[in-house]
Amino acid sequence: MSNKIYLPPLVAGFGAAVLTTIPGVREFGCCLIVPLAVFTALLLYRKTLNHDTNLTVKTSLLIGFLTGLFAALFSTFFDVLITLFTHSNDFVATLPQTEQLLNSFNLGEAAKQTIDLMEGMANQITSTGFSLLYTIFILVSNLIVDSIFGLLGGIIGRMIVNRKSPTA
Amino acid sequence: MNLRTVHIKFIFIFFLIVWICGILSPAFLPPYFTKLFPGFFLDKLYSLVCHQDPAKSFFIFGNKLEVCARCSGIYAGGFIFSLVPLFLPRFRPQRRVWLFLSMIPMAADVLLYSSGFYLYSKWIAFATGLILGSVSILYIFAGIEDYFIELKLSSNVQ
Repeated sequence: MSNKIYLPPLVAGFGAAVLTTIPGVREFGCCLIVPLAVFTALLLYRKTLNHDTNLTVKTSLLIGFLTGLFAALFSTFFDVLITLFTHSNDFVATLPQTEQLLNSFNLGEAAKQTIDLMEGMANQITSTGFSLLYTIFILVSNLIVDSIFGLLGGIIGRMIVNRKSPTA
Repeated sequence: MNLRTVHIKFIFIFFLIVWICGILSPAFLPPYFTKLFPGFFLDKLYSLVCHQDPAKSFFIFGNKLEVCARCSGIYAGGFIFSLVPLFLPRFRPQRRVWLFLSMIPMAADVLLYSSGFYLYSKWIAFATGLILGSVSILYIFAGIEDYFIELKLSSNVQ
């Protein structure tokens, strides 16, 4: 396996991250953006190979995982960057409603701790444009989801990219 | 089909059930749960794979599910058809064309409602998702089987 394997996932992962950042695109793409990015990465990787051989499941899984990984890193980066410039995001915008709802249930200490934690993050975002906890939170979520969907995209994408039948 | 393939498929089905439980959680947990930290994390996790638009999502007991109708269909179809290997252990899709065909209803629905031919329908979205999810899971399972065939072949070569 050569170094050629890293470039297609990098390109496709970047593309997926850009698409998830554009408002409205997620409405059409839903959970299919990362698998489609993996499919693109598999096609690109296949182009880099000079011979017409089938991709192995192992290679497809690796490309899928890498695409998911790069998509997660880039989308976290874009999210952080946009928050840094705007000093706001969905989380900050919906916080007053969240607080109102939590207070209405009289949940005691559990709600107080959650509100304190969220207020801390929101205050950091509105004052400096950056919250380390929020960034870690976003990064972990992105890494979990994108890598799983990347692996699934790798398995299915291989079936489409390979010219011979799956059993061949 | 070897025993390891069966184990992997069961593990896959287990995680699929966990994922679906997460989607259904707002319907069965108290409404403040999604606002507390674990629920908030869960909500954010699903927001990464779905737009979660309330107008395009199902409500159970007055609570919005974590994903839209189309995504609900994909996971429901995936779950229902993940049980196929339990009853038909030797079944596997042989041709790629079914995967392409399963994408057509979803693509057509997106194109038609966004170009104004008809109004968005949750049930149509759910049905198109159901078709894609049902077929995709069979290809995922076929891929898992192929992985173990590859492993066996490479160990035979060595």
